[in-house]
Amino acid sequence: MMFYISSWNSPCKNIQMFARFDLMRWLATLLLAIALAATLTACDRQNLHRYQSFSFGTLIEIKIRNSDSSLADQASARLFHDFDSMHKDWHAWEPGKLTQTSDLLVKAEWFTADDSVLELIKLAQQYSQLSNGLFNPVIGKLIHAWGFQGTEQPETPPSQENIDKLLADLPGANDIEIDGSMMRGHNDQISLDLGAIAKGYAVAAGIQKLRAKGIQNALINAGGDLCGIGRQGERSWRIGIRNPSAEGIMASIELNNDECVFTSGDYERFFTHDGKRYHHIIDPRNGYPADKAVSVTVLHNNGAIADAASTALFIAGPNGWQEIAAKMGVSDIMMIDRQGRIIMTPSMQKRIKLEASESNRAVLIREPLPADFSAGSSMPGQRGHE
Amino acid sequence: MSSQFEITEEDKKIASFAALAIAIHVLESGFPSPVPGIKPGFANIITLLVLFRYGWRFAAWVSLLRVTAGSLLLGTFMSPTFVLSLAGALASLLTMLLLWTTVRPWVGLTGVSVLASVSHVMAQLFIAWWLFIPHPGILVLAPLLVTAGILFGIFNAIIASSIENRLVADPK
Amino acid sequence: MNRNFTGSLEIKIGDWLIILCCLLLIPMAWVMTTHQPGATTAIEITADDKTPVIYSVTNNHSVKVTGELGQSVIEIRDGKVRFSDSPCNSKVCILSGWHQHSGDHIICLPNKVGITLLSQNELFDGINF
Repeated sequence: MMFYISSWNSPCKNIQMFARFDLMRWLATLLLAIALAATLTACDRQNLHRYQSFSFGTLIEIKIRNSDSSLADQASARLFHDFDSMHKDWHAWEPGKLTQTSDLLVKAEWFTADDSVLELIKLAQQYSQLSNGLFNPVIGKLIHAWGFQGTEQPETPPSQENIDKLLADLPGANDIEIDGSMMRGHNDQISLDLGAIAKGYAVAAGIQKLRAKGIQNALINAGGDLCGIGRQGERSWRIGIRNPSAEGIMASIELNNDECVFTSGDYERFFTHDGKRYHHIIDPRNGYPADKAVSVTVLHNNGAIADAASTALFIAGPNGWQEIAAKMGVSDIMMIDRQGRIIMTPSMQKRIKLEASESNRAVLIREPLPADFSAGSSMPGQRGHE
Repeated sequence: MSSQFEITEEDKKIASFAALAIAIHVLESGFPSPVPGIKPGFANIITLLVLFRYGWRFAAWVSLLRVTAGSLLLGTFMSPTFVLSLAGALASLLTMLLLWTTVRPWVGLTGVSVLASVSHVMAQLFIAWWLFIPHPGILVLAPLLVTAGILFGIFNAIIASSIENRLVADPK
Repeated sequence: MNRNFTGSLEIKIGDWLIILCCLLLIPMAWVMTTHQPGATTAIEITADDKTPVIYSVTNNHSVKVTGELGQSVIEIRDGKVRFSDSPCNSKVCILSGWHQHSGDHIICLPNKVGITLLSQNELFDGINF
């Protein structure tokens, strides 16, 4: 039976026409598009290059997604080499560029700082000021007294007398005067220890070097602190955050392009004496390991800030971190306090996915606050030199 | 001026069955499902009926029209939901085609319904994992989805047969 | 038109076969997916500056590797991995316990022995700690 459009008086005829005559064509197009996309993603899957090496005093893993494997090989080899030389230059106690600089600062006379350390010291000073002195890059003597400089495991804490003596004349970052590339010290107790910023700076610098070589997708993992650019194929780089007080993973996060995730925790280096645990993050206010938090995780696009801020906020603890975070310009923060509660910022809450096993943890949401809004507390070790 | 299009009896049948399927499709999307991804897929009953009455070409038309028009009505056209619907519909159509052209004498409503339904869910799961949620954890749903696919496949076959019986008893 | 269909729910041999096959698919899918994605299928051990070596974790065994200070023992059990002995004196690597997520690293820094947990389908690209 034949019907003609003109004689068929259905109100739906146009829809039917469309359905019958155009549907086929674009279904075909759609299928073609899906097939093409599938082929593309399937091809893209194979090019993950992975490298690892002991460098910068830790195990460094570099993952690069790139179609040019020789570029990835060459770039990662170069990076490991750079990490080695940065580690040597910035070592806090093995003689090198940084210990030489410390020696010159103690002499209290102007000298020309070595290029390899100048920029890092400037940044450390800036972040130290922003952290109200909680991140203190010149208390190498105090850290040494605790035995956390060196490969040997300390067995006893230093005497109260020794700590008091070190605290009485504790240097601060402002005791370094910098003018261009000239530098002068104002405290003979200065001993540079950039352990809380160097790794962040180095990893972020590594990422920038990869990018300069034309690599768009990479992840560098330096002993549990990570920076990434681009994506892992069709998805973002996915990072698990280890539970600071038990085995396993407590949360996960997907990195945005050019972003770092750094955690400071009391479990990384520690010793036990008389049943009490002493870890390596020393509070410059009292000379003892900071005891207010269990771990602090910071997400930031600047690795050096993420590193320094995670240390400073760890020392600040649940009651003091909000002001420091606002000053340092860090907004994605997660802190685990001594009661095992999670304290995080609203922006961090949007990014983080807690594992099902963590569902019974208390979660508190807090904003970083400018100084006016939080109870101010004075920080020693923060003195001007003029 | 106006071109002549053949609107055959077939077209009208396709359109009316598709309309029925679309209505069921839209209604079904309004009901919450206890487990995400698990739905009875009642709209497939129509596809099944059409397949057994008029063959797989008819069924293909009805099914693809349902997916497209249904998503246009629901506003999910070209969204992940639509892509998943399409993937499921294509997979079950392919299954029907294979069964229809090879082993038709030995299978009835139940077998076709069950296999179409299972391939429908598996295709959706795979596409969801592949394109939208690459997290491998989603594949854990597979056993549950296959179970639901079998159960609803059988259930839909029963409904389809009772409808068919009525249609036969009262031919239009 | 195919009017040979009577509309009865007559179950033919093919129907039975299809239902049977689909039922078999349930345990198959179960087995395939309980091999949990993101679970570690292999570990890569980097000792000192030697070339990394990959070990399977499908059977329980121990691996002894020599690092800068001496011998570290790595225990593999039920898809989990840990350091069970290490010549370093901090024992941080041993105290960190069992690890099972792919993408994770266990590192004994003093002895320069590192373990990377690998899987076909990595759940995480890296672990932050």
